[in-house]
Formats: sequence, C-alpha cells, structure tokens
Amino acid sequence: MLRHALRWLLWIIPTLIGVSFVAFLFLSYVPDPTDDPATSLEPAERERLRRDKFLDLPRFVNFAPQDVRARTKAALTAIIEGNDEVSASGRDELVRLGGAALPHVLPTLDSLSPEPRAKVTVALARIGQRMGFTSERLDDPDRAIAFWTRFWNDRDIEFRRASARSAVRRLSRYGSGSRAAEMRELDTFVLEDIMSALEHPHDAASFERTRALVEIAAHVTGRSDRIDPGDEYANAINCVERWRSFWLVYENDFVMVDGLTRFAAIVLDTRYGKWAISAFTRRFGPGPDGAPVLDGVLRRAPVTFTLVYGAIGLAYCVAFIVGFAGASSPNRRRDAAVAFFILTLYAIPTAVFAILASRLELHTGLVLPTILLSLGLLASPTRQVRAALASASAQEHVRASIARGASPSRALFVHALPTALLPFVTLATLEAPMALGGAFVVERVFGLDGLGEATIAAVRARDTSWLMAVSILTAATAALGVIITDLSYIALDRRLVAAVLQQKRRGG
Amino acid sequence: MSHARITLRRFSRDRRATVGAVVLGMLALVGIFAELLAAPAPLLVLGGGRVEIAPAIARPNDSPEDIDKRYGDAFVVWPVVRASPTAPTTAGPFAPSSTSHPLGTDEKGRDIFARVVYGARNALGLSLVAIFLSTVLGVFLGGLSGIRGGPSRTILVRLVEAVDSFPAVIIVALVWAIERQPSSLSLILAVAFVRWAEVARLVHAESMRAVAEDYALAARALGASRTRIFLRHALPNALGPVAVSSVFGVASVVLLDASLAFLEMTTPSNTASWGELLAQGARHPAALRLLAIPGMLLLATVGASYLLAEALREAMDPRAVRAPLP
Repeated sequence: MLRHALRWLLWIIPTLIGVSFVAFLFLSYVPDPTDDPATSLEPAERERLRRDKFLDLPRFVNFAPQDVRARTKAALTAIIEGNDEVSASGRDELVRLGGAALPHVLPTLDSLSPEPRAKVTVALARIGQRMGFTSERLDDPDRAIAFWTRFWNDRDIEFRRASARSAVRRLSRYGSGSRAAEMRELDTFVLEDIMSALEHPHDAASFERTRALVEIAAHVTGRSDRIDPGDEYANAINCVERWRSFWLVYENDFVMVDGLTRFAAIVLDTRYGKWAISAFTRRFGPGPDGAPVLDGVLRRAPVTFTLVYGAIGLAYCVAFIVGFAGASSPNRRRDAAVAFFILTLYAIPTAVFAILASRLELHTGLVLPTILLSLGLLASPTRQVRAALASASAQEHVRASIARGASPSRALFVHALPTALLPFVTLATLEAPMALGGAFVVERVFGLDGLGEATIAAVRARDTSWLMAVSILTAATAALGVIITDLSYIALDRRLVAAVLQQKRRGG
Repeated sequence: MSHARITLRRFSRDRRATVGAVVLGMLALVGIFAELLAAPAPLLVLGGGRVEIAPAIARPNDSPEDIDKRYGDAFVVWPVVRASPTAPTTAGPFAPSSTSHPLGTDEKGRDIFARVVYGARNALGLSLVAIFLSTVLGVFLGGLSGIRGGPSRTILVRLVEAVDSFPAVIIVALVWAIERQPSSLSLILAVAFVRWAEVARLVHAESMRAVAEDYALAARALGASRTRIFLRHALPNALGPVAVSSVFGVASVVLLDASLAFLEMTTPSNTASWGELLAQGARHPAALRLLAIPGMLLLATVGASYLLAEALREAMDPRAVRAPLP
C-alpha cells in the first residue's frame, strides 16, 4: 500500500505540469495593463514594459530565439542602411549590447567598405568610453578604426568565456580596483559570469564580493541599481534578486545561443519557459511586494486551509453527532425541526453571519471564522449521515449482530458505521472546493490575511504569477485529496483494493 | 398508474414542494415583471393624442427630467415604485423608508426596492441559464462516454474528477482576470463549466448501468443504435437525479453569485445584485437593512429550491414510490 501511495504521489508531478500548461495558456490571454490603449506611454517605454513581462516572446515554442549575434546583426544593418532615425536607434542598441557584441562586430570591420565602417566605429565610441578608453579620440572615424583594429588584435583572446570567468573569479578572490578595471574592459561580455557568480550576501566578505560584482553590472548596463557600502543584508539580497529578474529578461541580449543551448532556447526562450525557470529557481518569481510569490502563498495558505478543512471537519463532527442522536432515538418531529434549522443555516449566506459576528468584536483568532464557515456546510453531511445510517442499520449483518446480542451502539459503531462511512470520504473531498468561496468571504469580513484577499487583489491587478501559483496550489491540493480518498477507501474496505488500484493503472 | 404519474402525485401532495414552488414562483414573477414593480418611466401613457406602453423598455436611458417633461400633462400609470435600479435618486444616500422609496436608499442613493427587484431578475436569470447550459453539456458528455465506453470513459472520469475538485471561485477568478470588463456571460460560462461535471457523473453512471441491463441488450439485439438506446432507455432513468441535482444547483449558484458579488473581485459595476447589497452592509454596519433584506431574499430563494429538490428527490425515489402514501 505504501508503494502505491508513493507511485500516486509521483503521478502528481506530471499532473501539475499539465495543469500549469493549461493555466498558463489560459492566463496568457490576460490583457496586460501596458497593452491598454487608455494608458499613455511612449512606444519605446511600452516596448520595454512588454519585454519585462516576456510579452515579446511566443507562448510555448520559439523557433527563432534572438541572441546577441542576431541582435548585433540587426543593429549593424540599422546603422549602415537606415535613415537618421533608424540609424540612431541602431547605435543605441549597439551601445546597449556593448562588449558582448564586439566579437560579432570587430572581426567584420575589415570586410566593410569605408563609409559603413566609419559609421560603425563611430557608433562604438560610447562603448569604448564605458570601457575606460577615455584618452583615445574615438569619435574621429580614422583614429577609431585604427584603435578598434588594434584592440581586437591585442585583446580577442580575452573575449572568450574562460577568460571572462577567470576574471570574475579573480575579482571575487582578490577584489582589487585593477581587477575591476580589467572586467570593465570586457564590458557586457562578463555579465553572464557575473550573474552566475552573484550570491545572497551572508557575511562581510560575501557582501563585499556581491557589491563589487553588482557595481560592475550596473556600470556596464547603465542600470543604476547598486548596493551601498553600508546597506543592510536584506536590501542587498533584494538588489541581487532584482538583478536576477533583469537577467531572466535580458540574458539573450548578452549571450550567444548555439549548439545545445539553441535547442534548449526553443522551449526555454518562451513565455512559459521563462515562467517555469523563475518558478523553479526563484520560488515563482517576485510578487507585487517584492517577496517571492511562493513565500506569499505559503505564508497565507495556512489561514485559508485551516478555515476550509477546520470548517469541514467541524461540520462532519456535528453532522455525525446529530445523525447518531437521530438514529438512536427516533423522533419525527424533532428530526424535522433539526432539518429545518440546518436548512436555514445553509440558506442564509455566510456573509450575513460573518458580518453580524464580526460586530461582536471577539478576538478568537481563527476559531470563530471557522465555526461560521462550517454553519453553511452542515446541510449536506447531516442529510447524508441520516440516510446512510438508516440504510446501514437496515442491513442484514447489522440485524444479525443485534440478534446475536450486540448492544445497539455496538451494532451501530462496529457493524453499520464502516460501510456507511464510504460515501463520506468522497463527499468530504468534494466539499473543500465549495467551502473555498465561503472561506474567501469570511477572510474578507474578518480581515484575515489569507489566500482570498491576495487572489482578489491579483485579479484586479491582473497579476498572472500569483494566479498561476494559486492554480497550481489548488491543483496540488485537489490531487492530494483524490489520493487520500483512494487510500481511505482501501483502509475502510479491503475488498476495494483491487478495484481502486486497477482503475488507477488504467487511468494513469 | 405509470411511474411518472405516481411521481407527480406524490410530488404535488408534498407540502414542502408546495411551499418551495410558491416562493420560487413568486420570486420568478418579481424578476420577470420587474418593470411593473420598479422603473423610472411610466407603464402606460394616455393623452396628447397618443398611447405609449412601457416606454422604459423602449427608451431605457431617459433621465427623470426628460420623463417628467414628456409625460407632464398626459394620463399616466406609474409602476409601484418610481425609481431606477442604477440611477441615484433625489433622496440621497441611506434615506430611511418612505412612500416613494419603500425600503430606503443605499450608499449611492439608489432605491433599494428597485435594486432588490432587479437583483431577483439577475440572480434567477443567471442561475437558470447557467444550470441549463451545464445540464445540456453534462447530459451530452456523460451520455457520450456512457454509451461509448472504452478510453472515452476513463477520460471522462478523470475530467469529472479534475473539474469537481477545482474550486469555482478560482475558475471565476481566472476568467475575470482575462476580461477587460467582467460580464455576466462569462460568469454564466464559468459556473456552467464548474457544474457540468456533476450532471455528467450522474448521466454517465446511469447510462453505464442501463447499457448492462437486459432491456438494453434486447434493444441492441433488435438493431437499435447506441444513440437510440441512450435516448430511449438510459436517459429517462437519469432524468430524475439530473432534475434533483439541477434544482439543488439553482440554490448553490444563487449563493455563489451572491458571494462573488460580495467579494467585489472586479471593477465595481452598476448591476443590481443581492450580493452587492451585502457588501454594502459589510461596509456600513449601521445600516442593518442592507444586510437583512438580501439575507432574507437569499434565504427564501435557496430554502425554496432546497425544499423543492428534496420533495422531488423523495417523490422520484423508486423504493418509496410503490409504498402507500403517508
């Protein structure tokens, strides 16, 4: 039985991946606030915001991932062939790509005819200044061509992954100013290694390392997101996370995609791929408050789960007590009165009870909300308990046990109850999704910080990452519920083992 | 006597069924004839050389001044309450009950009576359409898998399990997130999507059972198609449970609709709804009637459909049908 339970638990993983596919496809149609024509944004700004949310990527497969080589080529074409405006934006793009683009620009300089070559080398001037070659007069085309040709002859050996990596390692180890200058001369080419070397600071040494790396990243990208020497560790960690978010979006602007990575990019350089990467490596990505979404979900889920499952448990306890009381001493009039009372509890919306009770201002934590939520859930279990006990005690083995001299309570608990329990296992798992709506209402009225308020806020703000996390959490809970149902079926009735297992094997 | 006649007789003699049907019927009438009970424009205009019937329906966007000007000198029959459910009245917010506004006004100065009346139309209309859609979908899919068997059966069982265990609130939240302007159509579709699984489960189980029966085998031997066996031999057996579950469904959809309106998940709309009144009641603890009125109406609607469904279930119980009437 343990083996089967483990196997079912393993099945949860593909199920959740499937759910995430479906939910992602669905949520990819969420209108993004930046796409709203009512908001007035510059086209470039809108383009940037869209890119930050991966809206420029295809949903699930990307057969033409854009890497630094493709972007450099596009920028060069724009500089050489475009009119003034296009050429200016091409220059900006080339400067943004920076040192990572140099291996794709400098070797081709010789093959260009003089006029385009002049345009390109002048465009490189700002990169040269950023790298620290301020004394060279790089805006002068002739001197610039000479400089860049010499530069590439001398330095092309440094524009290799291994040397960039060892430069980063040297900086982390010795952390001197000349090491930093060495890395600045590689410009954006070192970003990949900086990002993989970034860590969450936990002591003075790692703080200093991180600070130096972030400093260089900020310098070469022009993003003014730095760590100040006296910063708290928490601020530094947030800063590192912001840089990782940046890298998730812009990685392919500075890294070449070829060979195996090109295959990986077909699925990873997509909206779903980016979401999955941040889900796995960064706890579902940062939420609206900066903390990872998963942390937010896990912090709030206990409140909601306590409410839902506590209320269901309470409702079933009360239902069984009422049912047993009814079964042990039949009294039609009292039964009808109880049934009427419970129906009234069901029909009055939870909100009314909750609002009335919240005015009492009792500070009972989650107890009062749970009780209120369970009021509306009483109706179906009480009816089921009554019917189940009635039909169970009419069964022949129960009558036989009474005939053998068993007491009525023994007949009820030992002989009638196990068979009567079976349908409740299914019912109780079906109850949870229904109770969730009521739990949201109770959370709202009592101001509890549960999943409900956050989900409503996410719907209003169209926060897809939160909705994805909540969908997956719900699916995981539901799958666990199904497994627990099957296991308790087996526990209650050994004869069902074969049926349940076979069904599982076929259904997979 | 046929089974249907016995069922009908038992059903009509059940006191719960009478109470439920009368209450639900009255609420439905209120919803259908909402314009007679509350509207800003007159029901009937005679005079000035013309006859107009219910101009509020033809021109819903007239302002009160327009209406006064146009019908000032004619003979006019007004509805019970002269107020629109969406436009603020002149009485201002939280006005106490008066002759012109029998239940007072809400936080935006709108007439509560009018909002309650149109809220009945919205709540019942929405739940009936949603239940109808889910029943059609459930019968179709459940029947299809029931008579086809094989892999489609497994797929349906899995699908029903998945839909059943996914909360309606989350589905509605997802649907509303992808819409710029939340509409009641999307709510209907979301609710129908959640509820079809229950109907499909019932129909599926019943048609699986029926296909294995001797009479279905006999029909098969006589050359009946699978569709015919499903429609003539399996579906009639399933209709009883489906009807009961649909009537229960009305109650749960009305409650779900109210709690969704209460949660105010989207940009506030002007639509009249009971749940929205409850939300106002939560914001303004002093105005107890904002809580009591929708609470009572929901109690009446849900309680009535519950009673009706219980009576229907017992009337259709084949074990009880042949027993003598109490």
